Amino acid sequence: MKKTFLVLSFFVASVLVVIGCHKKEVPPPPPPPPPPVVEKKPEPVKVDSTEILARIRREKLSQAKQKIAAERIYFDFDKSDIKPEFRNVLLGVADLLKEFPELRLRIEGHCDERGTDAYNLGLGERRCNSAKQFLSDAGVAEGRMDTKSWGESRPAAMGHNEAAWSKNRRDEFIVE
Amino acid sequence: MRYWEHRRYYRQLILILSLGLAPGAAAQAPPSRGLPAGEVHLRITSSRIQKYKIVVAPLTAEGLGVAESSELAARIREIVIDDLDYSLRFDVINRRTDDLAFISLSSAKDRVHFDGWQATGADYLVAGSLFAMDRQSMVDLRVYDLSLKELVFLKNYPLETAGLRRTAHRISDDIVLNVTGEKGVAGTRIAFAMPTSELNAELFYCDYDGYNLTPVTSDSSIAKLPGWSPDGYSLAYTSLKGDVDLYLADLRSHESRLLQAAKGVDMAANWCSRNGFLTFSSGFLGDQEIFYLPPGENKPQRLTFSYAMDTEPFWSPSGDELTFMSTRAGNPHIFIMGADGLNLRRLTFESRNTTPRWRPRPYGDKIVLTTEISGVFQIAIIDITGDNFVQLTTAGENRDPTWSPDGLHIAFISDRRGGRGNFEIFTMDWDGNTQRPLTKGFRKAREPAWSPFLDW
Repeated sequence: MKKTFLVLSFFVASVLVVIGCHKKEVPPPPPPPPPPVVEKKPEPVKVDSTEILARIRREKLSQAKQKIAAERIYFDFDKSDIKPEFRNVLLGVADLLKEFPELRLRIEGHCDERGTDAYNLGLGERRCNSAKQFLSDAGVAEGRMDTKSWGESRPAAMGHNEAAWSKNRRDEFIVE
Repeated sequence: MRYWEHRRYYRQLILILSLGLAPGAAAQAPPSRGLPAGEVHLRITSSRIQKYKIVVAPLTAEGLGVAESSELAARIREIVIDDLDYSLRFDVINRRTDDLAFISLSSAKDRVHFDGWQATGADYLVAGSLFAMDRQSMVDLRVYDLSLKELVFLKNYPLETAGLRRTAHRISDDIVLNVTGEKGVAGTRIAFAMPTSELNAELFYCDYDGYNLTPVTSDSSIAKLPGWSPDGYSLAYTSLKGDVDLYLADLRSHESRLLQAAKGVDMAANWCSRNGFLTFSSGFLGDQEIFYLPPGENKPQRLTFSYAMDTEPFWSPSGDELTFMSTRAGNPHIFIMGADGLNLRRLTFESRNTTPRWRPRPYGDKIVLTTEISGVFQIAIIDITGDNFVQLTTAGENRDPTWSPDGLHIAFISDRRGGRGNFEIFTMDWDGNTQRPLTKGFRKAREPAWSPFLDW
């Protein structure tokens, strides 16, 4: 009886040891690999999408800057009111400025060579302010806009005729 | 009583007599307004500039290096003759030495051949000697009244070769002052803006006759619209660096400092020669409005309140009023207002008119301006009552007039020689006579500002 008990106990103990050993050896390999693999696969996908979005936005910002910088609005002789055909140009500039709140705008006003210098500096200033007022009405915060009048000192086209003058009576837009 | 005061008294006496004799002439005299009679008559003599006949004898050369001294003496004589001729106060007789029928006439001190000189028809004789010494030469100058056969004045001028033109101008102004009692403009200068590259323009000044071109600013930007301080030692100007602000350039230290930098365009500075008040226009309220600044203060006072452009303010000689340009009536026109901004009146009603400049004393009853005639800008003059609008220029385009401080000359820019848009500085008499280019070897100058009388 005692002998049988001893054998049984030995058997049980050895089984327990074996089971214990098995338990230790089996779990480590399977669980760690699956979670990392499962987690690593979604992670790169998420990082890629934000970078792509940011890159797209950077490209759109750069395009917006180029688009705004390429815009010109032109004025009639001795006038500073926005002509109807340039309202869409300014609305486009306003949309871009609202899409990219980090942009600041400098509006630069120019005149043709006719007229005296102080008068043209004042007229250039009025042409800046007309565009600034329009953009402000279209929802661009005034604090994001500066103005600078060049008067007649930075002509876009040389020449002393209406063809040149009409190109020189303008607002240009500098984005920062 | 100084010599010229005698002379003026004599002139007044003749004038009073002639007024009494000529029917209707007296009616042209302004109402006396309680002024002493003498002053009223003085104003009449002033509006008609009396010309004296003057002859300038060859300056004798003495001392070392006689040949060289003779050369210097001849150059001084030429400059003095040009100055006296330009002054509008003299008819210069027989200016070429080889024309002188009287070449043998003595002009030596104590041996002046008065009868001989008087026979040339001259009222006055300028005579003198140049003493060449080792280090410095000296001009000894004498002016005689030929009818009274007496010395009007004599003076010695130290002479350095580099400053020969300045010395000659000083001699000319002393002759004008001592004979007529009025200050001469030979020592004045003209400031202006001139391009230094495709993108930059700086301020310069030159002598009133176009010589001695001198740079003022080195902003590497566009400097415009100079205005002289009353003491003649600095220029207020508009710089396009930044958002267009007013700066002050010191002509002695060659340094510039910020004068006014409000948001928007600050420009068109003009100083009152009587009280030193500065006036300018600023756009920080949305469009150009006119302000003034008393000397030593830094808070500008506002003078205009229109929803239009008000700029180019310019003080009257008394400082009691300003003329300015405004678009409050649509096109640009010329207005006058009191120094308090009140008593506004409009001077021009047709075309476009800009750059009003009030004529200096003693003729402060006219304003010169730029007006558009058939699409081209021209210089015109108008009474401060708005009457007597007279066009002074016709050849090419002409603009930016500025008065000499004696009120007898106008400098302006014209493209009549250079072709459309290629402006250079010209001058003319106040009535449009004797239009001629000022610039000597430099072109494309614009926005001239004639200095006050200078003591340097």
